[in-house]
Amino acid sequence: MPAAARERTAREHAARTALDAVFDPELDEPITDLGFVRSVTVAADGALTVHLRLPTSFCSPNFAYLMASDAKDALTALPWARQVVVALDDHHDSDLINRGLAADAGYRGTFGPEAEKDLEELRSTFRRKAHTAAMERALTLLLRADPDLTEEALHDVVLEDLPHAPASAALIRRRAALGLGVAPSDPVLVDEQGRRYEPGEIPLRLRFARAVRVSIDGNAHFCRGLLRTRYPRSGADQSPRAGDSTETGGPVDAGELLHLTVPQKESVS
Amino acid sequence: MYSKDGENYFIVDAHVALWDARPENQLNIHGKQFIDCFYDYHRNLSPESELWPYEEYLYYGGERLMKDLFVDGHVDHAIFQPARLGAFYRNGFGQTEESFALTRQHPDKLTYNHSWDPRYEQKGLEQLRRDAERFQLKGVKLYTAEWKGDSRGYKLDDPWSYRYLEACQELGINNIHIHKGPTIRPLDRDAFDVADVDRAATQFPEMNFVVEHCGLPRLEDFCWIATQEPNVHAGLAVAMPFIHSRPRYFAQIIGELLYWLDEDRIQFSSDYALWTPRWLIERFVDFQIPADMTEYAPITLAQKKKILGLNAAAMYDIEVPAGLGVTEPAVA
Repeated sequence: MPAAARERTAREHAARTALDAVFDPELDEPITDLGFVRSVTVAADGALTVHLRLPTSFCSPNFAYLMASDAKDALTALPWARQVVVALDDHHDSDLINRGLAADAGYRGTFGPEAEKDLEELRSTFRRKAHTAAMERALTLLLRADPDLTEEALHDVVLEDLPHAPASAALIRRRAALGLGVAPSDPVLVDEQGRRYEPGEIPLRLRFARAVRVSIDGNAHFCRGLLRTRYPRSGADQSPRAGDSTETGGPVDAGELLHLTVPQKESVS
Repeated sequence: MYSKDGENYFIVDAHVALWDARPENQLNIHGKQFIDCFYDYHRNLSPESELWPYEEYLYYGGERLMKDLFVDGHVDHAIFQPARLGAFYRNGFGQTEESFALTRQHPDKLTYNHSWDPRYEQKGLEQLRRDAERFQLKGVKLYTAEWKGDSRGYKLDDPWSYRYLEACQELGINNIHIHKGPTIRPLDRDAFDVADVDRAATQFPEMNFVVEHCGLPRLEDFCWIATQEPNVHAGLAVAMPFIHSRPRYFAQIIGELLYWLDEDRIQFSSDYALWTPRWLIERFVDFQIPADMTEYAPITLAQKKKILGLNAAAMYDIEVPAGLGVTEPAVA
C-alpha cells in the first residue's frame, strides 16, 4: 500500500476511535457500538467526511443534533483535521441539521424558533438516568454475590466494596460525568446530588432504579433492532451492549442479575 | 372472544387505526418517512408469518380491518384512536369518515375516538363541541408531537390544553389517550417526558388518562407518575409485540407495570395495523413471567382477563357477556 493510502487508512481509524467518545445520551452507549456511524472517509486532500444514520427518520431531532454536533466536535479536535463534514442521513430533519452543522450554527442557530435556550438540561437528565441505571447494575451484582446482604444495608456500601467488574467501572464513569465523588470511601447508593437515602427508603429507590435500567436497556435493544431492519447490513457494525443481555444468549443473563428481595406490593383492590 | 384450555377471554382492542398512507395521500417526504418508520416497526417486531407486503400496509381498507380484528383476530370490541398528521397527509393519516362509517355499521363492535389540537385555540374548541355531538365521543386520542406550522408539538398542561380538557369533561369525554412522539416545543426538553400528563391528571381527577405504549421509551417516568395518580392508565400499544421478539423484555415491562400500577389500569391493544391482534392475544394468553425472574410475581389468569378486555370495557361501558367477567379474586 502506498504511503498516502496508508496514512488515509490510519486517519480513518483514528476518526472512528475519536467517535467512540460520542455517546447516544438516551441509550448511554457510543454511537460507534450502536452502528450509527455509516461511513468515515478521508479524501486525498485530507478532508474528513462522516455520515451518521439512525434507527428511524423520526428519532428525536434534539438527540440527533446532539450526537451529530458532538461527533463534529470530536473530529475537529483531531490534530490533522482540516475540513470536517458530518452529515446525518435519512432523518426528517436531515436538511436542517446538516445545514446547521456545516455552518457551525449551534443548537439555537440550527433550530431557530423551536429552540429556546440550550440542550444542557436534556443532557443532564440523561446523565442522571445513566447514573441511576449503572448504580442499579453494580449494586445488583453485589446483592447477588452476597445472599446475606440486605437492601437496607446497601446504605453503607462504598465504592471500594464493589467488585472489580465492568459494571463498577461503568458506574465510576457515570459518577464522574455527573460530578459525583469517585473516592473509594464515597457511598454508592446516592441520588444525583450524591446524597444517601434513608435505609427505609432504599427498597423503593432500588426498585425505581431498576425501572430506569429496564427502560434504557429495552430502548437500546429496540433501537439496535430497528437500525438492522432499516439498514440490512448494519448489524456487522454493532458491538454487543456491554453488561447486558436481556434475552438469553449473551455472556451474562440479565435475569440472573435481578435476584433482589423486593417488598410485596400491597393489594390495591 | 378467545377460548383456550376451558377459559374464555373477552377481548377489547383499545387502540386500532384505519390509515391511508398511499403516495397519493402523502403531502411531502415526511408522509413517506412516517409510514416507513411504522413499517420498520412492523417488520422488526412481527413473526415472519404475520408480515404484510408494503403495498398492503399503506392502505388496507375497512373490510380487511373487520376481518383481521373480528373474524381472524378474536376481538370483541375495538376502539379507533386516530392520528391526524395533517402536516404529512392530504386527507389526514387516520381516516375519519371511513372509520366513523364502519362504527355506525357495527356499533356493537367499534367505538370511534377523535382527536383535537389545542393550538387551534377557540376555533378548535368549537369544532370539538360539534365533533362530540356528531361522533358521540367518549374518548379522544392526542398525539402531542403533531406538527402544525412552525410548531412541532404541545404539552398537555398548556393553558389551551386545559381549556380543551375542561370542555371534554363537560361533554362527557372522559377518556384521554395520550401518545407521545419525538418532537415538542421547545426542543430543549425530552419530548417523551410525561410530566405534563402528571399535572393534567392531578388537575382533572375525574378523567382517565391512558398513556399509550405505557410511556415507552420512558417506562420508568410513566410508572412513577402512575403510582401517584390513580387516574393514569397504561395502554400496551407497541409494548405487546415484544412478546415475540423479546419475551424477557416483555416480561420486564409487564412485571414493572403490575408492580407500579395495578392490574385494573393496563389495557391490551394491538395498535392495528402496526400489528394484527390474533397472534398477540394467543401469545399473551400463553405467556408467563420466566421462573428465574423472581423479582416479579407470576401473572394470574384474572390479570390476563382484565388486561385483555375487562379493563377497557369498564372504562368505555362496553357490555361484557355473562360468564366472561373475573370470578375469582385476582390477587391471592
